[in-house]
Amino acid sequence: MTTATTSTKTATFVRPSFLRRLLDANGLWRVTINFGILLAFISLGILAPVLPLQNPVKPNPMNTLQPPSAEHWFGTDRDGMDIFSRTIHAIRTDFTLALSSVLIGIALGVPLGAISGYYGGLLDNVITRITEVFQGFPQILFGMAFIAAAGNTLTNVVLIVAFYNIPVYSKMVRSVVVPLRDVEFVQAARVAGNPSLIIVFRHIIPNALVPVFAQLPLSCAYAVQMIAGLSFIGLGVEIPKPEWGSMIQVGANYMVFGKWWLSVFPGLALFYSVWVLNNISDILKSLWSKRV
Amino acid sequence: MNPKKLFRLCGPILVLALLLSGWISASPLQAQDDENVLVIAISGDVETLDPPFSRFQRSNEVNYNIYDQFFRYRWYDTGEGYSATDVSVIEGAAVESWTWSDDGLSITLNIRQGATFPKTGREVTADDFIYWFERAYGTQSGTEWNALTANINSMDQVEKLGDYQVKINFSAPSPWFFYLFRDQSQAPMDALEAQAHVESDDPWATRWLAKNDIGSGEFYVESWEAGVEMVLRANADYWDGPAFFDQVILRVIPSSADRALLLQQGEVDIAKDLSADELNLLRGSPGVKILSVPTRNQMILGFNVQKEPFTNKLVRQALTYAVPQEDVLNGIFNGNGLISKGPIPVAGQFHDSTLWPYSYDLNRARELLAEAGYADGFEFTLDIAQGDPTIEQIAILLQDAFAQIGVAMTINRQPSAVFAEQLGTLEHQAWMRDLLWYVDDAGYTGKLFFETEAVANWMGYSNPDLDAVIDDLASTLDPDRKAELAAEYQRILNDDAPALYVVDMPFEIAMRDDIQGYVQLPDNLLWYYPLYRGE
Amino acid sequence: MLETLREWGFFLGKRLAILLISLVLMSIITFSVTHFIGNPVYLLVGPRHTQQMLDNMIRDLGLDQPLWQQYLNYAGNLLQGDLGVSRYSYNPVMRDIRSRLPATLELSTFALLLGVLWAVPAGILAGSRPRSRFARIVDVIAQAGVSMPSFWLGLLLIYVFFAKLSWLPAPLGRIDRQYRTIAQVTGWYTIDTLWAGNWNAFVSSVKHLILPALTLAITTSPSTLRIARSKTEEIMQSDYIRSARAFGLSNSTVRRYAFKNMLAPVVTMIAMTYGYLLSGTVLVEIIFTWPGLGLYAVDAMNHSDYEPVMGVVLLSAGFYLSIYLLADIITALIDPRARVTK
Repeated sequence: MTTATTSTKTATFVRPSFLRRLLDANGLWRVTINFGILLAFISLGILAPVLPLQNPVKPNPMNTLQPPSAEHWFGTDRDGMDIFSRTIHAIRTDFTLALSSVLIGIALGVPLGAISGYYGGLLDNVITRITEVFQGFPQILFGMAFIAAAGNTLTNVVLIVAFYNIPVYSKMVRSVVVPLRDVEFVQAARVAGNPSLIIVFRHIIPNALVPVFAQLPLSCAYAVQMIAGLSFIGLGVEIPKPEWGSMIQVGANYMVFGKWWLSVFPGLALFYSVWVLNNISDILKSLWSKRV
Repeated sequence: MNPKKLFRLCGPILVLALLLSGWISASPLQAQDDENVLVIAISGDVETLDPPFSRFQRSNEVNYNIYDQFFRYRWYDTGEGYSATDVSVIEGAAVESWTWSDDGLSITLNIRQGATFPKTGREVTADDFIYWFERAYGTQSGTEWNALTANINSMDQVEKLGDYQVKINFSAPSPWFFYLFRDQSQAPMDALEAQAHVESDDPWATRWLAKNDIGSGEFYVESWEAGVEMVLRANADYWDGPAFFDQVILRVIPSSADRALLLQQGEVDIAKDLSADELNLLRGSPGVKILSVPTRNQMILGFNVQKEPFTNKLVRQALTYAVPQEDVLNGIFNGNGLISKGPIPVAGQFHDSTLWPYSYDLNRARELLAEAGYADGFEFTLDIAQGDPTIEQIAILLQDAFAQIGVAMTINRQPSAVFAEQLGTLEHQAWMRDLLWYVDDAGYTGKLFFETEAVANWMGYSNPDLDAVIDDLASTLDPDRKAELAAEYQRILNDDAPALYVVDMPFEIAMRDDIQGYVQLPDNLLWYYPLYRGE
Repeated sequence: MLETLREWGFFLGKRLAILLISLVLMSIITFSVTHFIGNPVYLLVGPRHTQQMLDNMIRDLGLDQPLWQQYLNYAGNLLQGDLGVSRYSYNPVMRDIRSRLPATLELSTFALLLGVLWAVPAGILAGSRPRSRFARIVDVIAQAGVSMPSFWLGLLLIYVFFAKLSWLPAPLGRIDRQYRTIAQVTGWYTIDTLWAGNWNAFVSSVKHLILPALTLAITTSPSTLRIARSKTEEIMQSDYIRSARAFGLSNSTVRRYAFKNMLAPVVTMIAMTYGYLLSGTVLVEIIFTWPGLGLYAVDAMNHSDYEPVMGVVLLSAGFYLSIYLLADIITALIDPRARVTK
């Protein structure tokens, strides 16, 4: 049995879904294309070993430096390996390295920034100065010196790129945290007797994660560029593992002889993935800065 | 149109304008058109002008040309576009003639009279030779090693007999005396000039001599812009007559592709240190010729026999069976060169191909691995020096070949300094580089590389039987006995396989086709003196 | 007046102290790192050596002392302006750096100028018409510029303009060989050739400079463009500009106000870009064989010659931090609020 009620339709504000907000701020076209391409890259990278590609590390000394053809879509390189296959396989290398470095940078930078911002005072000053010093280092040069000193391994490449990410996230989180210090719910937590560290981790950091999340793709973009840059100088990835930077470097010597395909294709792939990541970062940033 | 937009267009317009104006007004690329000037593109700056401290080929080469060595090899035209040296015939250079004592334990050197140091005008006398020895022992550098190896252990064994005569007493027979003393660093230096630049903390003027030359050679240094170029001028009073080229310009062009390009365009006459691919790409270019001279340069992969799994001889032999030598020769070197068959290069004295038991046989390789207890294969790291694409290409081929027998090789590129250091400290597990056996003598090579605790024994290898053979070779002058010993030498090394030999590489040099008179020196240094321009 | 002086005093003093501490920290880090880059002894001594020669070399290089002592020696020398001696070129590092610095400065400055010349006006224009087609195109170009790997772009430009079109000379340095004897007044070939009155030489130096400067400009100007654009957009939408317009102030006046207000952050960004450029030219220098500091450090690294590497890293870091400080000062000059914040 029902009681007759008049349901007055009051206008309530229902927060639009994440997707809706994304599309409103950026337009369907932009979001679809960029996310689509990123997804395509990532899938290609993940699926590379099972796709019908030629062996990316099988040298063929009698078939070197062939221009693009039906058999080798991007041509062959100095060792006779298929460039198309290598370009696709390189996605795995570059993206994995970039993502790991950025995640490590976040894992170290975020708590650092939060602690720095929350506690303030001398600790804050010291941490800020140290992160400033980190940022002041000439990146490629110091990266080279570090890797030359610590050994030419992938781990060291990841470490040095992570090192450069720490100040970015530390600063970002700090700037979010400082105003939050005296906000009501934090004060409440403090009054309730929560130890400071818990406050930092449970209440403050989660709020800082949104801008971090938006910055992540951008950091990945820089990381990919830095890793490729270091590989271009011969540091990091061991030959003949496919990686865009080292592929470009091998091809550099052949450009003047007119064999452009060795460097151009991996460069395009690098360029394109960085571009897409940049766009995505912009798209995500539009979310929290426009307060939709 | 608002002013901002105009302003914004300024940028690209400016750039375009500059481009156009430059394009229109500037002179075309200057071809190297001075007959008597030789322009050579080199890969990096000359490191030092002080011969005893010269470690790298670039300095070695310049020093060879600006200092007048004690001796030189005779050379002859091979009829194939280049001349070769006959290492069995020694000619005097700074030393005019000599007489051995009856017991072969001392030699009297007659110094060439009338030779002068072009920079100071002073005459070359016995004092300059004596000073050379003093400086060798005083600086304790590479030249000292040469003296000691020639069994001249101290100044006591060097006597001045007159203004133009020096006597040397050896502590033991010295079969390598001439080989050692035709080396780039063995040459008289202007003693008075050196002594004028001595400082309290630098008694041998090493700092000044690093940047200044005081030789009596075929050329002298006219100017040196560090990192950019060095200009040499011919010594008009050289005892054998002045060189054809009045000026030699060494231009520093770090990128090999650029060097190749400049050669192609005629901007330089000779391009040094090109990769195998670049040489192949230049072959057939109009105006360019590639001289390919068979040499005793081997591409060698050395095992550190003190580190697992290379402590096991069977493992080393197994890998030797897995080297795709044909592929490397044909694919990378385009067929130029020879397949290596042992520690003495195929073109070397006393080489015996019948003593080489190996071939490309993957099954045999697998058998040996199983016998050694590595039926499932193993992993190892190969270290190579950065910056050499040819070695990288070879390493990649080897990696693929070894993978087929279950051996996973990782290629690790190191800066040359680190690579060199770890060779000395035996930190590599395995290494690969090219080695030039510049003295065609198994005993000399053995003393340097294969003897227990030898200076350049980068494999940590030790075999007392081989040591005995090498010692014998060091004091034997009888050619038949030498052949016997050399055979034993090869037998032992082939069986022990402390290193694997990939290819005997030719020395290839690219130059303009009007450059003639090239003489191939056994240490692959470029000798500017006999070159001339002609058709 | 006194208040402001005191404000300034504190502000500057604090900043300088921070700069100093940062530099010390940097020197410690760089020293520790570069010290472990392979032992140069073996390379210097060569394969034909004796143990005695090795020991002598180690002693000469001071490598037998404990690490902290070596650092103190180094730091002491630093304070006297002595950056050590390059073990490879035998020159004092300071001298090497001084001779290579103009090359990097010239390149960075031109790259900056080229970049700013187009980025600032384009950014302002795009910011004033944020939804226009023009703005969108500019966005895309900026995004592309920042995404391009500089070394790849350089290679492409060389391929197109040199290998294919032959419009520009080979990437072999700063000027054609025959003009290299031009008297060095500033060390900048563009200026020195004009000073000497040699038009052909000037053109040659510009032709060599264009591609590397362009490469750098394309990849570093987008950040300036973005700031200019976003600040302009922000300001144009801001209340006081709106009211200025409402009051009927002319367009050019409004634009002038807007311009002045977006100056500070844009100038800061330009300064940061310059600081970044001074140390970030390494890859471009390698490709174009531009004999600047970056190439110098790379060559030294390959010879395990660590004094030059430390010198260049410290110098770049010092530059960067100083420019950061300068940017802070400029902002403080323009915006008094910045001075007072902690």
